[in-house]
Amino acid sequence: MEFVRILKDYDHLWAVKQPDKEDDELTDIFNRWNNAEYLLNFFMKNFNDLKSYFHIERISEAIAETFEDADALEQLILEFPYTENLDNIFHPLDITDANEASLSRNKARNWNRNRHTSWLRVYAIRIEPNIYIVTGGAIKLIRTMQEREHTNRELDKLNSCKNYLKSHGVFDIDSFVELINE
Amino acid sequence: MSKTLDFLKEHESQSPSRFVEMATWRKENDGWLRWSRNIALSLIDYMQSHNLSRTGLAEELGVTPQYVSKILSGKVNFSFKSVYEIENKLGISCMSVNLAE
Repeated sequence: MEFVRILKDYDHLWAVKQPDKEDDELTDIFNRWNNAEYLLNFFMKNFNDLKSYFHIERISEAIAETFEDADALEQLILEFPYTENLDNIFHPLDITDANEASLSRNKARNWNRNRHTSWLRVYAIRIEPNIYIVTGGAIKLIRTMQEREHTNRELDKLNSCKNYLKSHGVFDIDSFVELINE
Repeated sequence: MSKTLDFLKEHESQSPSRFVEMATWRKENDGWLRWSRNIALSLIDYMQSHNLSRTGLAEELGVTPQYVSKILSGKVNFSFKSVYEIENKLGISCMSVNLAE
């Protein structure tokens, strides 16, 4: 597993880069969220979820909303590192992660979206305050990640990155200090 | 320097991220990309209402499925002539839809 820095000279936001893929995970999800053909295939496959949870039956409407939402989220991410305020944008995935001292799994989305809750998610491991590694992202139309294959896969990617870091002895500063004081 | 940052730097990929480059390109080309995206959305409306696959749409347009994929990417800098041909063949208007607003 390799990592790329999202903004040159800034240490706050990183992304996983698989050696066999052209782009890192963050670049890749925004390329997909800006491609109408990818989105058409996705919403056709997940049409029942779109209809049941968001009451949208016109696929072009779902795609237009994804474009709009992706633009806003992309802009937000571009501005984050300069404010050094990533902890306000990424939130723990669940209560277990909220209580984790190190390497917690987090999600970011456009938290202030109008009309309906944003369905775009960026997933990341928090390694230190304001330092995150993006592992992927998804269009989440249902309540829990375990319910659908594509979101479950993102959960696997989060866990795999966390395990990789753990197996290489990477901890946040506090837990590292705790460990050496034991 | 923290231990975690040291680790990331040691495992940093040789190829830098293209996120900023791609995001900047989208922002700089936002004006005409909106038109291109609207054409893709019009075609998707047509496909959904006529229950057509990408191949079916390609047949109606008299183009290859690969060209339909290109149009659906929402990143084609069309000529007015190409847009007219799409509109004429399908009997739709592509330039007036603006779902995002």
